Amino acid sequence: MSISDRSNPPLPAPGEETASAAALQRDRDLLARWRDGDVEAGTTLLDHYSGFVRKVALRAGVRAGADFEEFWQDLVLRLLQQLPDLTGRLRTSFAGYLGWQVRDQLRSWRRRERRSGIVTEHVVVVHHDEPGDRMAFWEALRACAAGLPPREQAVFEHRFLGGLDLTEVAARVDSNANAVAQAVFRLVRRLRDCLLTKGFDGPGDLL
Amino acid sequence: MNCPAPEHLLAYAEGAALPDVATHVATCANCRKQLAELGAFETLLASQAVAPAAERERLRSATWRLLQGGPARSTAPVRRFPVWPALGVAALAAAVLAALTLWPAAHGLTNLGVHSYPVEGGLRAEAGLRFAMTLRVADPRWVAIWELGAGTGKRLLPDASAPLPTYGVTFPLPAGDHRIPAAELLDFDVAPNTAPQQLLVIATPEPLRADQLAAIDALVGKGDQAAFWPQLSQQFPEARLLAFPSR
Repeated sequence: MSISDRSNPPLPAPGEETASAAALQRDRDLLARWRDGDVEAGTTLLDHYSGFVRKVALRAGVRAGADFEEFWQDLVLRLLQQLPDLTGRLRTSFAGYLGWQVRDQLRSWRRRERRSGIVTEHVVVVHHDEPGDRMAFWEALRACAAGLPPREQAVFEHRFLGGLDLTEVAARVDSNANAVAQAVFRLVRRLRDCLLTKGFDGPGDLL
Repeated sequence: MNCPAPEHLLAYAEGAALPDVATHVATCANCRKQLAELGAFETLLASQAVAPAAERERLRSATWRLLQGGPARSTAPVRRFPVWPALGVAALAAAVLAALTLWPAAHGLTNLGVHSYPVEGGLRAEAGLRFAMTLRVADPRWVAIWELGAGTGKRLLPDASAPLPTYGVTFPLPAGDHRIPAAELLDFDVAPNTAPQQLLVIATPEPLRADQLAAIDALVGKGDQAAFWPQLSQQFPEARLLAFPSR
């Protein structure tokens, strides 16, 4: 069984793989230094992704301010506990692993909220608080996502921005986990190809 | 070559332990390319969101404090125990608060309690039980904790081998009520069917030295209370033995 369209997969654009590989190596290096006791390296690594975690958590219903800060601290503690084995569990990117942890933590958070009688509707909310040049990226991404088939659009929103895991996404799009996973790989390629045409071809430097 | 189901490849990408998928990926260029594209996109996406400057600085400061082994929270309200809705207690039937001490309370260390609860699942699903302690100190104190079983004794805190040797707690504890570990996420794990029988808690006005800790480790290592208790209780007036709540 093959995954998505394997016939003549497009070659990466010049420099594309280099930029991505460099970002992954940067994250691995920071992670290794953090594991060896370099607190600054760990802080830098997590600081780079705090904005995205915030974006996903707020979209999932975590309240901004003290609630999100508590969510963030719980996430950091979770990563600290996993730190000794973390490097070995990085398969694609630290961002991807972090995304999985966020989705898992959001699932526990939602369960806790339900037990407390708090019902949070999953609302897709767009937060326009990114600095100027990043706003251009999100606009480009929105335009690219609008060009996806409806189901892939929904999968993209729910999984990458909504903090839902495969099973939850499958329930929302009335499908199964395997089909959703296939859609994930397919839409990733389409979105990256689209973003490349709009001039977004790198993972971005650490601030 | 039979590639894994997309669901399994995605689970592997997220860090799941799937040896068969790992073996396949090592020899399949197409699967590796799928994973590389996914990783590049995830990194690109995650790099493009920036929190408001003031909030970002607070998050960074909190991260720094946590990675330094500081208190879990400095400004947000301290979260004690989860709030169990009345109807949810049944689902947490093993959560028992045991405020039982075997010795009269002394001035420094009082209100000892153990809160244990079953693990609900998730990434730490292999643990059978988790527990935390509560206590009150009248003055600044360092605290060390051992778990005692039948013929065994093992130090829980401080634990130099743990990512957070003091489980998020900053010592000395100031006067007042405290929770150890500092946050629910750090609670002590107990493997199924290996719950301790007792917990030994020693509070001191100065931190125990490494040689003192080692000596106590050796003394309690065999779990023979009759042998170690007279010596320990005399040497450390604020030593307590606490029964672990039974399920």
